Amino acid sequence: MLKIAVGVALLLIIALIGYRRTFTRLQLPRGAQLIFLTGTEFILVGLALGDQLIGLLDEQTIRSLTPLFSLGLGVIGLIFGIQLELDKILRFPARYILMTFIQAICTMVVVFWPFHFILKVLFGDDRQSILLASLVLAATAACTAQTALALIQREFGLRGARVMELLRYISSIDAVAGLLTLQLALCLMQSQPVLGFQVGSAFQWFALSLVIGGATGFLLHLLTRVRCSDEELLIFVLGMAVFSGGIALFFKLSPLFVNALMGLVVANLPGSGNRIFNLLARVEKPFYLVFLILAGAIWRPGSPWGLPLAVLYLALRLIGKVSGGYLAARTAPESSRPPLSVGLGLVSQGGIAIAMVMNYYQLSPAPVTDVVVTTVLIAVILNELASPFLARVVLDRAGEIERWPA
Amino acid sequence: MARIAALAIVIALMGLALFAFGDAPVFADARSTMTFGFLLLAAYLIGDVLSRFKLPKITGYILAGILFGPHLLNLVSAGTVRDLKLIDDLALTFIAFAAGGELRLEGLRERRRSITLTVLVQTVIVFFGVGAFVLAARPLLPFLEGRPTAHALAVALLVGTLCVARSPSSAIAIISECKARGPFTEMVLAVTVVADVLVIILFAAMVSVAQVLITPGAQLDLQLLVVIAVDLMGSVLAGLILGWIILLYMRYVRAEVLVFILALAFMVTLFSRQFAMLLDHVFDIALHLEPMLICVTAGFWVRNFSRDGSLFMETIDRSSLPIYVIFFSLAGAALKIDALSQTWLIALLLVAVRSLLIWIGAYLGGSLAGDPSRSRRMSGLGFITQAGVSLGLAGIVARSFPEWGAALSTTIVAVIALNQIVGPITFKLALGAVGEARGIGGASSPGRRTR
Repeated sequence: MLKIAVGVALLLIIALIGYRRTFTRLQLPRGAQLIFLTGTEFILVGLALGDQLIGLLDEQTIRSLTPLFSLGLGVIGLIFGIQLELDKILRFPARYILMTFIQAICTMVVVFWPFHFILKVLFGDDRQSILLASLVLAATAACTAQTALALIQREFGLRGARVMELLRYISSIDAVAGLLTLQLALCLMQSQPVLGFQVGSAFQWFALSLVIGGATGFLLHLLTRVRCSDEELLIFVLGMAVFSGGIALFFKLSPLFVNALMGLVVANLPGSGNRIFNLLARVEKPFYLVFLILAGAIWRPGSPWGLPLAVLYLALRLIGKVSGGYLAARTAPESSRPPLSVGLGLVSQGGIAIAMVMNYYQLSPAPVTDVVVTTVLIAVILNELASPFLARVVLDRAGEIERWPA
Repeated sequence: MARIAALAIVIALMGLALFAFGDAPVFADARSTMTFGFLLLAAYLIGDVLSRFKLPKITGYILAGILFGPHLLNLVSAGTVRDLKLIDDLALTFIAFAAGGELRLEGLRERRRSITLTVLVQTVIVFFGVGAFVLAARPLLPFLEGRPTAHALAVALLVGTLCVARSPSSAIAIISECKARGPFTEMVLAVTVVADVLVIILFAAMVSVAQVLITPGAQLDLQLLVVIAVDLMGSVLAGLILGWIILLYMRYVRAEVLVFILALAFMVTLFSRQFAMLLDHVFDIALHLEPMLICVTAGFWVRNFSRDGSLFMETIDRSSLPIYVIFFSLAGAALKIDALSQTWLIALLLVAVRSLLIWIGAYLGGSLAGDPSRSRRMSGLGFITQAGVSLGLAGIVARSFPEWGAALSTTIVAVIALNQIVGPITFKLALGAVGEARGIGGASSPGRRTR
């Protein structure tokens, strides 16, 4: 009991006071600031509270808190989806979309094949699990977080900077490729077809997930169409996030994908999309932090392969981003071509990658799953440390900032 | 219409999913997740529909829980209600913080005479009045047939005690929904909280007395009273310490308040259980802390002894609606409605008698204290509702008296169920009648209550 009380008190000091004091008082490197800014340290808080250390969040407790975990996943997915307003996306040059998906696909390919081979060697004959694990690693690798870029943009007061605009555009939607891959991977793992015939079984399940996401999106739109108070809006949004997540879990599909699709539908129907987005922006942080704590508590980092595979994943992802960015940049006309190293600005991973890997953990407990989770979580933390520096390299080459201001 | 259509779709989707996958344990996580979301939506929408008929929304939440719960439509199974118990406990601690935060020291000082007299007079009148009624209505209690008078007396004492119990959680939910503020509101809430504490002590004493009555040679167990008193004092002390921790946090950190509150709620729930196990295992002492009392005390301390606590209370306030929806809908789902079908007549009579005696006790107590006439006439309506503590005590009765405890408990549960449905309606009426409900009849715009 004393150990628990002391442990929790220490953790509160590290996570909450450290967040506030360290960020404002100490001159930490940007990367470390980013870790605190995005709340990534809460994964470590969760790890300490879980079975691995203090044991406050044991397996039974975590199971009891599954709805909160799913709520966190749902909110993350919903926030992502609700930003995909098609008319805003299409306002940008068409080549931006092409560049986004080129770099995302390239990254996924570069990560998938080596890991598929290595995981088969390390974890033996469970082909389904290995395939799913490799696809999840590829899917998470495609995702880019905006936080580092937003930090730099604010620091340098960048306005109308084309490369920054491109980087932010890519980072706001490349997770679409990742989410699609995750959902397809989960559909591939389904043992029974939806419609009773085996042909195209995975696509049947994918179609079902589109139906679920579309239907729940329409339902949320229906609920919020009529003017409602902020409190009511909160109930509808949270209720739908968890409800649709639960439906997805029933079918062993991704709550993250279904909620993203729900957000996409709401964003593109006339109604309360903007209000919902503003509400989510206000309430996102607490749910996200709780999600990170629960994710950390679930995490089992014991495998000796975790760290080496994380380093490999980092390296492959960086290669994928750089080569994908190179290929993407080459598609642009000479006059408006970004630096060929534009991929360096897409290193930051962040919340959606964590959400995807934890979603995978929720749906597919297997020996390889723990290693995949460890790999991605370590990589996310290390990417946060490196990403501001690398992003500044790209922007400096583009002449939009001075890398080392006087 | 859009909301009703949405409600129909939500119910249909829930029904389809459960029909497709049934009750298989492998889907327990999916089911609890989906149920959580379903209750948030369906219960709120039903509450919203009822509010158009001037009924309190929490009545809608409770009715939704009953309707979709294991005894009627079974969209929310008994297993899922158990799976969501931790979330229910966390919600209760939130509500308890809110309840404590509503109690202003200044208001309590001003109304201490009214509060004290109302508690005392009501307790005496309800306890003895209900007890007398139970003795008179003995023929309606089949489990007492052929038993000695001592058993009937024991039952009368226990039922009289349980009828004193109230529901602070329901009271604070109605106050929050109606955005109520004023002397009447403060008095009713304070009396409700104090009565709930008092009933625990009274119950412990009456269980001992009842045991003596029905067991030849048994002696009064005064140790139990001492244990209960230490329980309560320990809970208040823990609450004061918790309040102090909250104030330190709000003064020096003030970050991620909602996460902090959730962590506190979790720690209180966990700490109470662990502390009880530790005392039992190491010292062989049956003692446990009351999470509700801890959080009410903490909320009271934060509200009244620091300016730094305002952000804490505002965060609780902002988060309250989903908490109330899930808490009361789960409460409704957990109600054993089948008990009503078995004991409906005696339950109805007990509800009527209890309500009348509560009204009389509140009126007399208010008269002795010199309360305004309208307040005296209306205050009894604020004390009808019953919930968690009463249910817990009914469960103890079932375990403590094997011969007829279970049957009595069934009757009590039926009474509680009816009071839980009727009580919020009467309290809302009372708040409207005394003019302290700002959120009734469009008096204020929807949204967060301002302080």
